[in-house]
Amino acid sequence: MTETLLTVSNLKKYFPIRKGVLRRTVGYVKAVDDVNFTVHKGETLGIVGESGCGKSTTGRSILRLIEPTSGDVLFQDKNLTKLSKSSLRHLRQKMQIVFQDPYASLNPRYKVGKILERPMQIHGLYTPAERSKRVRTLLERCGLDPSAANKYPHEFSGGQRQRIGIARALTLNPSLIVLDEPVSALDVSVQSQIINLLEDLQQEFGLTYLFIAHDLSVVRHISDRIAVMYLGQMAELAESLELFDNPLHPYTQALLSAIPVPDPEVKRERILLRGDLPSPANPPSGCPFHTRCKDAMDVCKAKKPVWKEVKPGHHVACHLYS
Amino acid sequence: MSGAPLLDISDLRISFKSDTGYMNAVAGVSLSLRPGETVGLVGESGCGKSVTSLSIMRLLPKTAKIEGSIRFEGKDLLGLKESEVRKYRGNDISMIFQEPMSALNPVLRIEDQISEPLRMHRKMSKREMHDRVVELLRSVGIPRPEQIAKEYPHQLSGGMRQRVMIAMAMACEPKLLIADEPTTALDVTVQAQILDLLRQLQAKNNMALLLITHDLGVVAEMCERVIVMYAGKVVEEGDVRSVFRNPQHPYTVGLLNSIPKLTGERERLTPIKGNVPSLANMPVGCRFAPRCPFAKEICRTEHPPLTKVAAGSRVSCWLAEEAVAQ
Repeated sequence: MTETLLTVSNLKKYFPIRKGVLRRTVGYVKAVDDVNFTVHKGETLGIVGESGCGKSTTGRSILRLIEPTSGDVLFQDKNLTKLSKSSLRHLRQKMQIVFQDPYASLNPRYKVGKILERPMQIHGLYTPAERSKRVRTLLERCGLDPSAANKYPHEFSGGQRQRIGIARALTLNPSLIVLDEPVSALDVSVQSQIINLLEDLQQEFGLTYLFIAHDLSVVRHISDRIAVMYLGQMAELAESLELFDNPLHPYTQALLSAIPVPDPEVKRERILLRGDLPSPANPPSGCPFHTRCKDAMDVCKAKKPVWKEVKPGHHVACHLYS
Repeated sequence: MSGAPLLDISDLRISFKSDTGYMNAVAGVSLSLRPGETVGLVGESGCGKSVTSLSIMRLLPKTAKIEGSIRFEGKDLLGLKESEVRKYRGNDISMIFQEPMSALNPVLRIEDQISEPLRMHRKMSKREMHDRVVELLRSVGIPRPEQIAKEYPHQLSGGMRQRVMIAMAMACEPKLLIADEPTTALDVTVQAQILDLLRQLQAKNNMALLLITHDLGVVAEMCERVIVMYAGKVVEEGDVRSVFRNPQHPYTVGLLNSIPKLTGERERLTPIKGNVPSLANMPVGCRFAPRCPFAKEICRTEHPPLTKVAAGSRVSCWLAEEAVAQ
């Protein structure tokens, strides 16, 4: 588990805000602002945070589905941000993505067989006969009937469509899969089926997952390590159980205390956050969380906290620990 | 269990016309709420929980066929004329919805929207109305209420919009608030704020709350009683503690087992196999039978009745039926 598959350093993605007739840039939305982390081979790294915290942008910038503003992404010893289009395309075989909305991410005019064969065709892999055989094997592996290949996406339920999306991600034998909210559109009873499937596939194919989600109980269940993001920045990163048992950052503490527990006999102390998430176009100075933090000090307004390892494997960006 | 129920729904059946005949979205739902009580209505998409709530407000389209009775303080709402229903809507019974952006009118200022129920149901001068709106906004925890009253919905965040919706619903101090997935579109920290607010308002006004949700965590935290629906039917009903501690229906057991735990060791999840049946293709007997690990012969042919298994708790399952008989 110590071999590193992906190293993200100083990743930034600023979206320009343009105004006026000349579309002059008047400011930036700092969706991802200086994010650093590594992903080990075969592990699941969960990224959590509330809407607008930049978790999806991080996932997509890594794959260069969104062009990052600056920073380095090392994947299998190649810097993805510096690669040419063609060599990037070649490397994309090894990194795939599964999207949140299984209704929007499958072409409604293609049959499932064609949807799954397309990636292999584009990369010139296998003969047509092998491709269609592979499609059937993968569909079956993902819990669908091989005859699904002859149907259209609309003939399937949400859970089944998500299985198709997962099968598509597997067609090229990837080593890394970015899972962007893969279960949040599904009902709980189906959600657990998909989670189990993802766990089985990871075992079988030795996959590495970057699991982006806002449901903390799901992330705790599936991840080896969890990164918490707030307003485009990393707040905390630690092993899953360590993060839940011993959250250091006040934001993580508030976030964890806000989860409703499905047990009427558990009564918990809840940290209610004041106010709303500040706009990422105009983030607070210093620590982005200081406007809502219960432990805010003077230094938090003035200086941005450093991202540092305070315990082995436990990183946090907070002045309380520096 | 004392006193007359505030809301009493009995044998409610709702179907919608389609090309192939009538689709039975709600198939015989009975439930009741006492004044001041919080009841959770849970189930997955398509189980009929939202349709049930809309029928209480008489908000279903004319094409819907509604049978059964919905009594509010003893009066059958289904028998009322539209003009009579309006006297209840937004006055004694209010509703808040999942998506506050689509529930608010984008071209009206916050003040005009919140004062609408007041204009309908209360005789007030303009001045009084304005003061009441500001007071309402303040009571739902909106900062700078005087200014926010003049703004438009798009200027507010999701959590603030939901607070505005709640302020509007509270305008006439309803006896019953129906909240249809009020926090599903919100982030957890905002959800915690909104749930806290609902709890405070409820205690202050002795208002009954029918909370419709798919999140069992929210139910455990907010409700006294819970009603579990599956495919248009009530499968289990009871007080929250006993349903979560000792669920009787295999579907409730399955739902509870499907959620990842927040404490202790991580174990493999035990999902419910298969998918929710479609309305057009309902199983004949118990609607859960095709997915039930304990299904027997009778489950596939006959639908089990909703049987009382203990004080205040009812289950619709042949297994529980047998256990009671013995």
